[in-house]
Parts: sequence; structure tokens; C-alpha cells
Amino acid sequence: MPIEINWQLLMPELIITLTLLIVLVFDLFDSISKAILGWMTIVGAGIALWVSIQMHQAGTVGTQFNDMFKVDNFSLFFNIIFLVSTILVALISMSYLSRDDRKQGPYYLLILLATLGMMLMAAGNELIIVFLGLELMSLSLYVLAGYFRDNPASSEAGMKYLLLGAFASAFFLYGIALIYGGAGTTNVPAIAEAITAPNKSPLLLAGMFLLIVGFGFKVAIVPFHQWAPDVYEGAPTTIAAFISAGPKAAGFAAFLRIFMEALPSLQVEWSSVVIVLAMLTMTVGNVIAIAQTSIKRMLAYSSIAHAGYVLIGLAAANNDGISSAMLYLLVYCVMNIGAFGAVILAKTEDGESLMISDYAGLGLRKPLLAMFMTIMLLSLAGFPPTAGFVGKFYVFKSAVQAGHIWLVIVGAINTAISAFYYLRVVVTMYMREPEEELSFTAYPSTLVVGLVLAAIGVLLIGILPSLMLTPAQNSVF
Amino acid sequence: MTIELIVVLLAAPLVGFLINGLLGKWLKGNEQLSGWIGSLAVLVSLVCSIIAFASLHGGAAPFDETLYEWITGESFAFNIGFRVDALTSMMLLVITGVGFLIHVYSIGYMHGDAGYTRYFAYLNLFVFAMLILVLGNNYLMMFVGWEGVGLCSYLLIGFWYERQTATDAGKKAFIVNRIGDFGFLLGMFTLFAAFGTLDFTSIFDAAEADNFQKVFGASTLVIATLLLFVGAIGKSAQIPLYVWLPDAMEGPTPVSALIHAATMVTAGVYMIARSAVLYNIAHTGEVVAWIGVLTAFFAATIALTQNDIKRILAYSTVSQLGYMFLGVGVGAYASGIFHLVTHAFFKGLMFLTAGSVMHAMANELDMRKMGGLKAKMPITHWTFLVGALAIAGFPFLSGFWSKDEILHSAWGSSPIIYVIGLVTAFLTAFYMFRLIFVTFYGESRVEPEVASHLHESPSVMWVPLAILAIPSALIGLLLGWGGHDSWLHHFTKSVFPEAHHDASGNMILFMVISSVVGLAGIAFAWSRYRDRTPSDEPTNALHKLLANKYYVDEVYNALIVQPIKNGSHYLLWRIVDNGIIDGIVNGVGAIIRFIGGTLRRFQTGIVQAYIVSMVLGIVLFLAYYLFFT
Amino acid sequence: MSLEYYLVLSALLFTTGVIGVLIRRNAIIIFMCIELMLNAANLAFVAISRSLGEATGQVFVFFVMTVAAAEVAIGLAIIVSVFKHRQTINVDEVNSLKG
Repeated sequence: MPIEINWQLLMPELIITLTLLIVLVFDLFDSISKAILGWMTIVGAGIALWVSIQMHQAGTVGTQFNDMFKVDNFSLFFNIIFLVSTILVALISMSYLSRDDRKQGPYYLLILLATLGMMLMAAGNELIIVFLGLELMSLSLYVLAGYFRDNPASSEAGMKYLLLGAFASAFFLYGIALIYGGAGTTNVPAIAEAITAPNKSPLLLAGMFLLIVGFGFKVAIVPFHQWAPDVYEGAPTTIAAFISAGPKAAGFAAFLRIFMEALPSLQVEWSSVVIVLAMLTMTVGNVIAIAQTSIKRMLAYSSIAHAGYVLIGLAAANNDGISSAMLYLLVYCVMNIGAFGAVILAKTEDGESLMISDYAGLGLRKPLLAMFMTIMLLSLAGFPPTAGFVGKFYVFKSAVQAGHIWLVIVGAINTAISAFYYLRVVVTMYMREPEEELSFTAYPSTLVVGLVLAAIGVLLIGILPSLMLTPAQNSVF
Repeated sequence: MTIELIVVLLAAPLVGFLINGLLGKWLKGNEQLSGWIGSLAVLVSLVCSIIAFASLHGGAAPFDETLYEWITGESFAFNIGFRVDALTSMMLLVITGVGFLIHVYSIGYMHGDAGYTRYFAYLNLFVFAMLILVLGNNYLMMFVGWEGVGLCSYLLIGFWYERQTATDAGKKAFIVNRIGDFGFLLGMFTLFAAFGTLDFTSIFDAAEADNFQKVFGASTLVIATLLLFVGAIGKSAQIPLYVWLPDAMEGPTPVSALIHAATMVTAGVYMIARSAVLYNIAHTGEVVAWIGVLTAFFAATIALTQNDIKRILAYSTVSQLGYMFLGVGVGAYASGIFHLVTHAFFKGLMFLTAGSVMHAMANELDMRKMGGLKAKMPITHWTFLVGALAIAGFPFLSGFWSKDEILHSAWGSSPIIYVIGLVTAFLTAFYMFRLIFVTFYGESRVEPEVASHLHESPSVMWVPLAILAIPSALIGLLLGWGGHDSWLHHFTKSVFPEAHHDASGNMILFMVISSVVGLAGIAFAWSRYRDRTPSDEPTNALHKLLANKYYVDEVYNALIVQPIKNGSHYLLWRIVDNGIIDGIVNGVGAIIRFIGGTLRRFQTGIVQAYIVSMVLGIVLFLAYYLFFT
Repeated sequence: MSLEYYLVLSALLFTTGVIGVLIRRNAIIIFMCIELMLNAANLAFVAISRSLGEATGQVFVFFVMTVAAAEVAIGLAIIVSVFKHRQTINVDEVNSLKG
């Protein structure tokens, strides 16, 4: 049986593959300035982003490889999230790598590989593809987390991520095996057909739950979250930004696809668990974040809490819930990378400023840096007119529609708690006097460009929500 | 008038902000360019404002269009939309007109400052926020602008952050304004609860038809308007929240002229004029008028004894803002806005001349160390004199017209208010000419090394002064000729509801009385200060009280700031504190932080501990699945 | 033999792996226990595939084995780099990141 391949459907993935091959080849030549590799990554991801947007607007739908790979507006919207994250991370990485004279080739190669893995996860219409995408992404991230081999913290982060991630992957794989046993297939639509009959075998339920464990680990849901703060703190800051953004979105992409499309008949069972997980995740993330003194760890716990807000959309389990979760993920990726970027910008002569107290007095002394940080933190806290507010608003709204009033109340209380620690940084910047004058290094222009793009994105979506809300609403499968 | 015009009007200062803010690094070498970009941006807005004004003046209908729905809920929508009517266009002309001149002036004034591009970035951002404030067609956008100008004000007051006093003043302004903003926010919530929308036209129509949810019974609108007024008290520096404005003079002088005299501080007056319908129905204008007239009097008395020229101008601003509130409070909305416009010109002018003096005197502000400056700085002297005559109500100059209209309307409302207002007019003339005589006349007390550099300011500074002097002198005549039948009243008739005050008494008589009072103030100042320096030490108790600004800062410090600072040391305070909401909030915060600190300990850093908690989670949920469902 | 026996065996293998991960301190042994969990899943795939009479599960196993090999390669490299810093691969002693 000859396989008809529709190359056009695979364009974004092919472009990324081509780009990573080019990066791989160019890295071999010592005569070339390695800085060009970052630009190649950006250009490649930019073209793939443009193609994805075009395909999304055209409403392209189709499956490939014997129904294993599905391109629709859902996967394309997630492609947009991944590629935007990749571009932003590449922008904030350039000066970060060159100032410490790091190897650049493998770095961008691994970032592109991870991006490809995420795209496979979003488009996976078959559990094998999802698993392979997940592993491709995860393996690249393990290496990236330990990328600074001479730095003990980075190595430790890599090892922790690897051990815990592999452990979670095993649960995920076992879950797939059980679902295969219960439904007799691993194809997403076929699973849905197979379990429409009143056949809720323990095999299926257990398998479904192990999938939650696997995804829960990747997107850092409590109680599977404990790797996140350690890894974010130890990993290079750019990689912490990367891990907190794209992979989280990818985890949710597969989560949404599998649970909404393959397991809708088990919705009663999974949505109750998702509600509990959402409450736990938001609360634990925010409460521990309050007690942090390091800004990277604070952002790590905050990103755990944000996974909880996305889960609210998933718990609503209606079209509005899915679209609001997708919008939230897009917004979250941009603002979180922006926040990490601002941390990188706050580089002093002696290294990065990682303590919150180091930010005292920056409001007037380093107005540009403080402005970026403030915009991102206000957005993370969900203040209007930033994108974070819009994201939270629609997620909460979908939960109200689904009747989960309590979930929304817990979410609102959590938003109030989170405002406390985000605003504490803002207040420190604008209202405190520094105890010692830190000498900050000059701003690298690529980093500023990345932050400007993130800030424009955050404000534009905040002021003109329909810009991204309408595409998100059109992307529900 | 089209939406494109308004978008250009708004976008120009934003673009200026972005260029100066982001490309500042590349503009550093060429500071003139940075200043001209900032000025050009405001000039574009000014041209757009003039076009909008001309089209309204030509009889075009007011522009009111909702661009799009920002956020939509089940039963409500928040909109982004603009409104340009007579009131808005007056404000636009003031903001962009005075704004443009001050930008140009700043090119010279800020010359050589390390933060040159940052300064113009902030100034452009301020203009943008102020334009949002007056252009919005709903309270939400007004609030966005309201917060935006507050932020810029904070950043500009603390612009010279190396000075401790500047950062302190910035923080003070910020914190005091939060109190006012909280009131504004509550007022907005009340309106939203009552009307289900924040759009001006919908709210005003519903209020007039008495068709809204009476969330607080019959006093719904009373509560809403008073809460909004709390916001105005904070932003426009009225009793008791005026304390931040005199300290705000720590910022660069052009900032004081633009933000803390001409535009931002008048936002409260604009807000009340905009909400005129609500204030008329709720009959809360009287409160506004009383606060206004008391502030006017109170601030004027403080200004009598100050020796710092910028501080005198600051208290004078507080006092004049009081007049504006008096005007809108007694229902003479057009007169209040009239005074806003004339004040923007003459007070802006006086701040800029003060800046010119500072520029020449190596940043000296104490007028006891000046004297006889007229000879060395003739342009500065003459322009200042124009401003001072205008504010003192010298016949046929700007202040004369606008202040007189307000006093005339006040008489119709309450003779007591009128008398206080009249006394204040006398005090105003007195303290302003005290300033003039001590600074520009008499013999020079300038220190020798400063005196050698004493010079008139460069043309980029004095040209704006000269240009500003013309409207400062004449705009009153232009807009106000004919009293309550003037051009301004006709122009704004469509915006404001019929005034409920009945103009009684002969207008001419009032004008004569005001003029006499103003001239008497000038004459009194002349008799006392034409060749005398103010004494260094207060001579009697009243003088001492005034010189120390009624000890209000000290009282606030003793009653509010210190207890909060030291309070935790005292058991009593803890008990009291715990009783109120603040204590509960702090208590909850502490508990959460404690829980967070405890939960942190589970993050041991040991891989297997994490695996244990994962496995425990899995086992618990699996058990729940297999046995309970 | 019916499918249940294979599934029980695979579950036992999987649990053995989990317990191994929980109680061993040596990073390499932990890693081997994770491999055991993956192989338990593989066993389940093959058994189910056989009982359903279709090939999906068996193909799946090939992919899993490839992934596992890649994981080992990367895992060992990372463990070596940790060993270089600390001269130990006892996971209890690698805990500088916490809180």
C-alpha cells in the first residue's frame, strides 16, 4: 500500500526539521561565527510560524501517515504557541550564551528538536506519536537543563529532571499500555468509538489515570510538580524560561486532545480529579511562592500555579473551556518568557541578580528593566489591561458556565494570593531603596528586542483580546 | 471628525514615548534630537486637537463611538471607545497646547541632564495617558488614564532619584494618590452595580430617566458621586489629601508646570464636569463647593509665608484648584472649566518662569537669596508679571474673567462661600506680588559667585515663555467676554446640564468688587515688600503656624505615618489593629506565609522524596478511582 | 494462558521497578529500575497485541526500546557530569537545590 504524503500539511514540521539540520551542519564549520546559529533558529522558526498562521487562517484540516498525524486548527494554534516561545527564547538566549562563551550549536539544535517534539505532541492522533513527541521533547530538555556542565547546579538540575522525568514517562507508557488493553487500539478517534459502550473497565480507568500522571508531571501539576523549582533554579535561566513555556503548552495540548477526543465518555471520572488537581495546584504553587526569596524559584512556583489556572479551563470541559485554556497558554508562554527575560536583563558585574531584594530601587535607576519586569509581573498577576487579565477572565468565565463556582472562587482567592508576591517585587523595585548599589551591565540589544516583543504581545492581547481570542475559539476541534 | 484623527492624536505621543524609551541608547549622543522628537509628537497631537476643535466649533456633532468590546461577560461588556465633545476638545487643546510649549521649553531646561531621553519618554507617556483620560467615553478608560498619569507623575517627581527628597516625594505622591484612587474605584464599582455599564451616555441617560438599580437605595447616586469625588480630592490635591502636591515640586520644573499645574491635577475637575449630570441629580455639588473653597482659602494662607518660589506656586495651584471645584460644585461647570483653562496657561507660565529663574540661579529656590532680578532677566520678569497679574485678577486679564464667573455663581449659591472666595482672591494677589517684589525688585541679595553667571535664559526657553504669556493674558477675554453669556458658555452648552444656580446681582458690580480686592492685595504687598526681605524667623504665632503649613505634615506624620511605622512595638496598637480589616488581612497574609514556609520544607531537594510524594499521589488517586467510583 | 497472567506479571514487574526506584540510592540503579518499568509496559504491549491479534502493540515496543536506549545514553552522560562535580552518584547527596 503506497503512502500518499501531503507535504503541505507537514510544512511547519518540515521547516523546523530542515532548520535543525542546517544548524547541525553549520555548527561543523569552525570558520563561521556561531552567533549566526541563533539567527538561523529564529528565521526557521519564524518561517514555520508564518506558515502555521497561514494554514490556521485557511482552516487547514487533514490527517497523515495512516491517521496517525492530524493537522487541524487545534494543532496549528499550538504550533503558533510553540514557535512564538521558541523565537522568544532564542532571542533572549543569544547574549546569554555569548557572554559566558558557551557552545551555541548543540543548544539551538536541542531547542529545535524539543520544538519538533512539541509539535508532534500537539498533532499526535495516535498515542505512539504522542509518546514519541513527548520523549523527543523531554530528552532534549534533560540535556538542556544540564547544559552548563561546569556548573554543579546545572548538572544537578539535569539529573533530577532526568530521573523524575523518566520515572513519569514510564507511568505514562504504562497508562498507554492499559488503554490499549482496555480499548484495543491506540488511535485517538478509535479509542473514543471503542469505549462508547458502557464498558468502563478498571483497565481503562487506571490507564487514563496514569496518563494524567504523565501529563501532570510534564506540566508540573501538584503532587507531580516537585521537580520544577529545582530544575528551574539550576538550569540556565533561558532554559528555565523555555521549560516553563512550550513544553507546558505541549503537555496541555496532548492532554486536551486525548481527554477531550479519546476519553469524552469518561469525562465524569476525569473531570472530578482534574478539579481537585486544579485547586491543589493553584493553592500549593501560590502559597509556596510567597515564601520564596529567589526570583527564579518564585517564578517556578508561580508557573506551577499557572498550570492550575489552565486546568480550570480543562475542568470546564466545554468548547469555551478549551479555547480559554488555549488562550491562557499562549498568554502564559509570552509573559513567563518575558519575566525570565527580565531576570536575565538584571545582570550585574558579579552575575545574575536572583534575589528579590536585589531589585530594590530599580524603578527609577533602571527604568527600562523595571518597566519590562513590571509589565510581565502585572500580567502574571492578572491585572488589566494586560493579557494575563484577559486569560484569567475567560478561563474563569468558562468554569462559571460549566457550573464550577467553587473552582472559580478558589481561583479568585489564589489570584489575590499571587498578587501579593508579584506586587512585592514591583513594590521592591519602585518603593525600596537599595542597600548596596549594584552595577548593572549594559543591555544586550537582542534581549531587549525579545522583551519588547513580549511586552507588545502582553499589552496588545490585553487591550485587544479578540486578536487572539477569536483564533483560539476557531481552534477547538 | 473621524476615528483616524483620534487614533493619530493618541498614537503620536505613544510613538514618541517608544522612540525615546527604547532607542534612548542611540539618541544619547544627540539629546536635541530626542527632545525634538518628543516635542514633534505632541505637536502632531496639537494639530489634531485643533482640527477636532475646529470641526466642533463649525457645528459638527460630538464624536462618540465605541471601537470594540474589550471584555464580554454573560450580561455585560466593557468597551473601548472615544468621545470628543466641547468639554473634551477644550481639554485636548490645553493638554497638547500647553504640553507642546513645555516640551519645547524642556529641550533647553534639561540640557545636559544624564536622563535626557528618559525625561522625554516619561513626558510623552504622560501626555498619552492624559489624552486617554479625557478621550475615553466611559469611566473605565478614564480610570486607565487616571492611573497612567499617576504613574508618570510618580516617575517624574522621583526623576532625580539620587536625591533622597525626590524619591520620598515620589512615594508620598504615589501613596496619597492610592487613597484617592481607591475611592474612585469604589465609585466606579457602585456605578457599575447600579447601571450595569460604565459608558458615559448610557449612565447619564439612565440617571436622568431614573432607571437604574438602586443598590444603596435612594442615596445610590450620592454615594457614587461622593466616592468619585474622593478620587478627585486625591488627584487634584484638595483637603485633606493635598499634602503630596507641594512635595511634588522635587521634580523638574517643567514637570511641575505641565503635570502639577496645568493638566493632571485638573483631572478631578474634568471628572466632575464630565459627571455633571450625576452631581446635579445627587445634589452633592455643595460638598464639592465647600471642600473647594476651604482648600482655596487654606492653601492661600499657607502660601503667604513660604519663601521657596516653587512651593508658593504649588500652594497657589492647590488654592486655584479649590476655585475650580468651587465652580463645578455650585453647578457653574462651564465657569469651572473656564478657570481650568486660564489657570493652565498662567500657572504653566509662572512655573516655567520660575524654572527660568532657577536655571539662572544655579537651582536656587529661596527668594530671600534673590532680589533685583528684573535688571538681569527682563523677559522672565515681564512674563512672570503677566502671569501674576492674571492670577491676581487684574482687570481684563485671564484670571479676572474666570475667577469672577466662579465667584458670581458662588454668590447665587451661598454668600458665605462667596465671601471666603473673595478673601482668598485678596490673599492670592498678596502672596503672588510678595513673590514678585521680593524676587525681581529691591536690591540684589544674590550670592556673588551665582551673580556672576546670572543671565537671561536661552531662546528655546524664553520663546515658549513669551508665547505662553499671550494666551495667559488674553484667553480670558477671548473666551469669557459677556460673563454667563460668553462664547465658552455657548460652546459647552450641549455638554453641561442647565445650571441650577440663578445668577443674581449685577455682574458688573461683582467685577468691580473683585478688581478692587485684587488691586488691594497687590497694593498691600507693595507696601510691605517693595524694599524689604521677608524675615527669616516667624515673628508671631500666626506667622509661625502658617510658615509651618499648619503642621499638617507633622500631624499626618504623628497620627498616621508614625503609628503605622512604630505601631507594631505597642501592644495597644496591635489590639486596635487586629480589630480592623487591615489586621485581618495582615493576619491572613502571615498565616499564608507561614503555611508556605512550612510547605517549603517538603521541597527537600532529594529526588527520592519527590518520587515518594508522586507515588503517594498516584496511590491515593488510584484508590479513589478503583474503590469510590 | 489467558491475557490476565501476562498483565499481572507486567504489573508485578512494574511495581518491582517502582519499589526499586523508591529504595535504591545509586542513580544508575534507579535508572535501571526505570528501565524495568518500561520493560513491564513493553510486556503488556506485546501480550495485549498478541491477544488482540494485531501488530500495533508490537510496533510500539520497538519504538519504546529505541527511546529507552536514547534515554540511557543521555542519562549516563548526565550522571557522569554530576559525578565529576561531586564524586558521588548517591541521589541523597545531590540536594543543593531545594526550598
